[in-house]
Amino acid sequence: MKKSTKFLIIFMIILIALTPFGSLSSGSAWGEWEPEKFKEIAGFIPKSIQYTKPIVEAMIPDYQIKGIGSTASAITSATIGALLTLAVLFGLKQMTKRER
Amino acid sequence: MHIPDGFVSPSTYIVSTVVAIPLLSIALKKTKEAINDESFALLSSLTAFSFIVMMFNIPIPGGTTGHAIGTATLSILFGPWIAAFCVSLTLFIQAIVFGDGGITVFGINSLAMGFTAAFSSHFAYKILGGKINNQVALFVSGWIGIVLASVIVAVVLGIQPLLGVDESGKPIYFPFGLNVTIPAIVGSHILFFGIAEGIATMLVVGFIEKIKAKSKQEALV
Repeated sequence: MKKSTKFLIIFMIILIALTPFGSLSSGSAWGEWEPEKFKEIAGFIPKSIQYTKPIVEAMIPDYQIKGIGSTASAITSATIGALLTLAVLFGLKQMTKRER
Repeated sequence: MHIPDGFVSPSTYIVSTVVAIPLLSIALKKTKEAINDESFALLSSLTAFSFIVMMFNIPIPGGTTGHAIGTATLSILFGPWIAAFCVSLTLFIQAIVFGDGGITVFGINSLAMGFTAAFSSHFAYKILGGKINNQVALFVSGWIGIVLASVIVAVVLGIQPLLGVDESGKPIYFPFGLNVTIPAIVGSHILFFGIAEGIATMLVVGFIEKIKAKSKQEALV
């Protein structure tokens, strides 16, 4: 393995290990509220926000894995996310190689 | 900045999807041209970086949070099209697997955090790079990218009250107008998350350049 690749892997592992600090704050992004929060702020829940269900149920909603703590969840979610992006790009690279 | 499902009208997400599809297919083509055994390690690390950096929620006064997006780093190192594709891939995984950002609104999120951020950071760095201190140029390029992405999100959400009301006259979709969304979303990105993206861009691009220089040196020895 090239030294630069090793550096990149270490960099990624450090970042993933730090993700639990990223989920310490409980607040959501401005506007990305749960329906109930709209009632609190706007006085009502807009119909589309109240009744729209996502087309696909998320496997790991809010990066929180059922049954395990938030620290383990953050690290696991970050690892899964990183590996998924890696897998898709790897597939794309192999596909392109074959096309060439 | 990830808009969830149900927050915008079908007209909004249909138009955005129609705009995003041809752009994404160009971005895919450019990414395929750039991806090979040599570029793979860095490109995939930076895409993973974009995913991970979005998990670092920074609390700000007022009880809300936000995060950097990592688009500028990809854009400066690989170009805007590839950056837009890789960040869109991240957004897609976030939507499908983690329920972060809606699926119907994927096009909007991709246009904002992917394309808008990538191209504005790219042009900012093109204009500033080499003319001013490189650290400052990197910082400003990151800052401007995420701030302009936040403008898109703020405008898309802010026009929703005009796009549908129920029988009692209340908005069906996102209920706050531009007078609220612009200061809240764009303001917080100017003051806080833009700074985070600027610093992330500065640090990561700097780090990568250092690794590159080192491996070049080693190759020469």
